[in-house]
Amino acid sequence: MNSPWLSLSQRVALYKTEAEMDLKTLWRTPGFILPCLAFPVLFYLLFGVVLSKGQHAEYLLVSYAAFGVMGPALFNFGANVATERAQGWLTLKQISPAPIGSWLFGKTLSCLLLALLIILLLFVCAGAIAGVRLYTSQWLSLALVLLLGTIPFCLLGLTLGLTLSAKSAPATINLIYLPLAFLGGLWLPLQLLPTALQQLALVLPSYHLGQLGYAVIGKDRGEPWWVNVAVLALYSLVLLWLAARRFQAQSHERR
Amino acid sequence: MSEPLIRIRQLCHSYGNTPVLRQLSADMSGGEIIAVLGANGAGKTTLIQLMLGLLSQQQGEIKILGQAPAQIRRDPQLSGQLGVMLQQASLPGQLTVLEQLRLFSAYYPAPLDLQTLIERFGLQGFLQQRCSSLSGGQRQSLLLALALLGQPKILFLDEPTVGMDVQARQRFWQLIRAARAEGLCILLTTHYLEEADALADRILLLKDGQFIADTSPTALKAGLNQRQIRCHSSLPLAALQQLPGVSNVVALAGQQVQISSNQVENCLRQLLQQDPQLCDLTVSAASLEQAFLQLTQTTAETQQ
Repeated sequence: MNSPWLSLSQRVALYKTEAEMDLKTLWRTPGFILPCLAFPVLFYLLFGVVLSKGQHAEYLLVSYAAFGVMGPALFNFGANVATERAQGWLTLKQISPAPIGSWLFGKTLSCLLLALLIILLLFVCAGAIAGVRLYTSQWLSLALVLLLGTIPFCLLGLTLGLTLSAKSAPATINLIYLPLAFLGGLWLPLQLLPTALQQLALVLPSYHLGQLGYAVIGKDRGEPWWVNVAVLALYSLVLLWLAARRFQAQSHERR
Repeated sequence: MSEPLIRIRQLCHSYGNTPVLRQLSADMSGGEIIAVLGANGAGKTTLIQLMLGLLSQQQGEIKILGQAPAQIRRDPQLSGQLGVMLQQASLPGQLTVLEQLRLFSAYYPAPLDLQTLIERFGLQGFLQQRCSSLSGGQRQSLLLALALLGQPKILFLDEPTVGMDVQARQRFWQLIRAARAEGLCILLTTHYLEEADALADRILLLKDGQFIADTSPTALKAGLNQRQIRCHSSLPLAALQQLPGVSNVVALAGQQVQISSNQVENCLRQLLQQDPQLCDLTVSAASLEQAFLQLTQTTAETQQ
């Protein structure tokens, strides 16, 4: 076999550079970062602290944190990939010798960092303003569950980004994001929704992400945790397969 | 000599039932600039996309450095030897020129020294500028620098100077000539015939999916027997049409006319006799543009 294209140290440097550049791109787009950070925090303060007088502060912390981390995953992968595609930038990368993994790594890392920032902001609001008290192990597991739980949404975003046009992507992703959050029980507890919608929730990834979070504070609906994990894993696999197919098909649609 | 860097044999391609490329064959080697010319829809973009493996091949053979284009996306050893400037590719706007250069040089095991590259491409003045704020010429220079950064053997340039002003284009041409001097095989598609004339060693003229010419710009123009007469004349256009060998008469501003003829000496003799007031006379040889028009039109007529 041929020797590898890049040496190990060059490969590490490439992954670092890709991550640095994607983070810089995100950071310099305040129009993207600010809504991603502000919406979950504002919703939490309004519904979790002011309107409910702090009664459901714990429950709603999980809700809005799960809602919050879905945002950067869907949008950084969805809308931004659609734009890179429209600019011909993705094609240029595909025919460059860069491994596609480094590009995905950069995007995933910046999503996770943004998600972590959202989680920390909400934790601070919950602890300092809403008076939520949890064990350290609960804070930590909640953060971990939510971070890992963004992966299926990153893949959903990627599939959408490789499918939608740059113009329609933001609107379409909102049309998926908001109903997904609502129907998954992240805005209102599921018990308040009609039975038919409660059953629909069982097939949504947002529901299972929420349940994993609620389980940390003992407020889930009682399915074994591995069911939630299995559904999210299944979503991830199917979406990964779809995204790979869309990626392969990319070049053939340009004319 | 050695193996050609690009080898095309009996290449055919169609979209549905519409044939776009028919039986194309050509070899391309290092140290030459090859311009692929053709009207819109002649199949230039399809040809480039096939060569880059961006379209799946249907019939015939393409070998890029001895390998099939489909390998470009799989084998970095192959794609690492190609430099590509795609038509109207824009850069992600939030990164600076320097960041973009750093990112691309991380793709290659032995990239060109960035400092040298920056000086050679005149990028010093706007290294810290975001890519979104670059002028057309600056952006294209950066894209060319990115294409050459990995020291490729083959350079693909798809409409590289669209949106550039005259000076930027002249500088850009210098950079491309320098790349040729280093032995690169450069494949250029362009809408600007003066660009092909100024740069290309070879012109592949694409018409209805076939190469109707594969020759140097000089030979292409020499093959054309038409020349042009421009003058101020008071003769009516109908009379000018009757002059020997005239194929076309165009009325320009004022009383200026432009006459195309393939017997320019006979034509002039009669013209001067018939119009004693004639003035401002110039006679010019064919331009590549005329050669292009004549070649693409005559084949269209003979086919009908």
